[in-house]
Amino acid sequence: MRSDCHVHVRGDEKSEDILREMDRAGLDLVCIISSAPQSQVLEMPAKKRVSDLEDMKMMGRMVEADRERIKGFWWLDPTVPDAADLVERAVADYGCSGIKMIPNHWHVYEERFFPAYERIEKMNVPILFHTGILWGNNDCSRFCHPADLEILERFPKLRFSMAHIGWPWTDEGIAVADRFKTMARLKDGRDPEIMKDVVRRNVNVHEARYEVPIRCFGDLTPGTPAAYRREQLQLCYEVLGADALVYGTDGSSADRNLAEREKFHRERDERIFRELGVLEADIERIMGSNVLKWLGKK
Amino acid sequence: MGSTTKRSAKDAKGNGRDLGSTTRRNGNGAKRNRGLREKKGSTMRTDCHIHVRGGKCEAGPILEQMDRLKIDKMVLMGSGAAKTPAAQKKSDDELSKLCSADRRRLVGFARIEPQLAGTTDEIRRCREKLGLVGIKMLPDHWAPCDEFMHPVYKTIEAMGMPIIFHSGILWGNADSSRFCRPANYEAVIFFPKLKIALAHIGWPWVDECIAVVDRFVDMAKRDGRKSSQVWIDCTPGTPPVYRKEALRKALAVCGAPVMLYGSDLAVPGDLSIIAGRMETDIRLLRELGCKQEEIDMVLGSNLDRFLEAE
Repeated sequence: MRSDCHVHVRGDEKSEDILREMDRAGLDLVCIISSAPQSQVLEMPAKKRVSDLEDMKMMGRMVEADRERIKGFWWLDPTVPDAADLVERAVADYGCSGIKMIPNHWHVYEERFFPAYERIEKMNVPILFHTGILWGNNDCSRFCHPADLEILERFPKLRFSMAHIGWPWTDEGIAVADRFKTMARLKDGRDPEIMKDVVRRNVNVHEARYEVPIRCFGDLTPGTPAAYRREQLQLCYEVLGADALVYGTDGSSADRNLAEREKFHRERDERIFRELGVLEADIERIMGSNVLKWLGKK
Repeated sequence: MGSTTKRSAKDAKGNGRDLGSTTRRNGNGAKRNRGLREKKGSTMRTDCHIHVRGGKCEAGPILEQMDRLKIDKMVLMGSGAAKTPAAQKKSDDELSKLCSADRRRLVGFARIEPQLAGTTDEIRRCREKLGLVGIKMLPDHWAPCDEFMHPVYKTIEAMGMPIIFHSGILWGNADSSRFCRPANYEAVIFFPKLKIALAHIGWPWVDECIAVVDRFVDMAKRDGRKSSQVWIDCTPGTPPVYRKEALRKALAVCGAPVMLYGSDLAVPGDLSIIAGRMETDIRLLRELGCKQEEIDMVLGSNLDRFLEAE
């Protein structure tokens, strides 16, 4: 299986064009992200043509053609008063499979967003959080530190991912994901190594028999410049293991050039993983099937 | 010195530097084996980061394990953050009692929650009445650079107590890691006699930790100080794949004289893991080109230098 957990769409793509491009790219599943909400339109005027509700409807039309292969992520601005209701509407009425958020001069840990997190948790869909440097939203990167996501510990059934592995704060992103996974492994109690010495916590991290449900996924979508890529993939794999990573490309459309983009990114990452000695089964999980766990489908 | 009962007044306060004695007593008064440094030609080994769990904790088994593992001295940090002034006093009293079995080897660091009422008075009591040598703090939804900390720092500085601060990712205290970034600790620059160590090499903010310490190392050289105001507590936190690189950078930038070995284990409990952990760090330091004397500083004698007042 091959998947892409991170593709932006304009909103006017046709389902048949997306599916054609997916076939050409050899993709079994793609997560498409709606365009920026109205509250951010002033900073990205060229990308916004329609209302948020119309965007939601367009997303619904795109995923309707093949709900198994096209997964819609509704881009939510949690500062709007009806954020929690919008979540429910996107998922229940328009078939969205997840929520996308970019902290735009707000912090993930602010209590005013807790009702939205609770509703997302209740709807059993994941959040795809932007983490790391941001090229839009003016001076917004400082709101996108991975450590800000620790607050999601308060929502024990909520699954989420940290896009771009938080680059340039990749170590911070790894530390946060490692924290969530290690705490779950300690609570689980099956892994003798981690029960004996938590400092050696990565020793059995690749053993399937000690795996625990993952809540915090590292989204490997670039952000990382080429010079960083190999080292970051190695660190993510060594510390977090294959079960905590999902693959994406950050494409800007789903109906054109998907195959070319996939070929470039996927071939590079798979080559790096093989050079690092990662097992084919683990590559398959990272590049393909883990997304199903993140989506709550497996 | 033949035993704890014959210590000088200075040593009784936990300030002792002399490890030259040949006989020690455990908490029950029985003669103990010698620490490693006391053997002719042997090397001092210390651990700056051992937690004391709440509840019953006896010094005897700790000292016995230290003898077996050839650990000369350990920093024991009081049990978890207190929620009330009464709980704070209880934690400090218990730690003092534990360390009183052998204050030269069991170095008590009060685990202080600085937002509690009466914190500065309690810090003075820890030093003057309880013989505790240092302070351990962990920012829990407060930042080390918050202004409310200034009187706390001022008191600790006046008492000549070093602080071991948690820095880096935190697995407890809910979403508190963001308060533990190394750069937040630059605030101690306003208290020049205060000495602190940043635990866990600040991981995942190792570079930030090294940058902060390097700044203070450089300042110490310029100001002619005995040692840097800010040190690196190398206690893990670093996952194994990060460890060597973190040590390499710390050595290259800040240098062995400001690095302390710690294990992050807890008592009561089995301390035997320390041996393997020390071996790993010694191997890594050797691979990084450290001389034996530098290794001995990091895993041994630096702790005494850290405890010295400026």
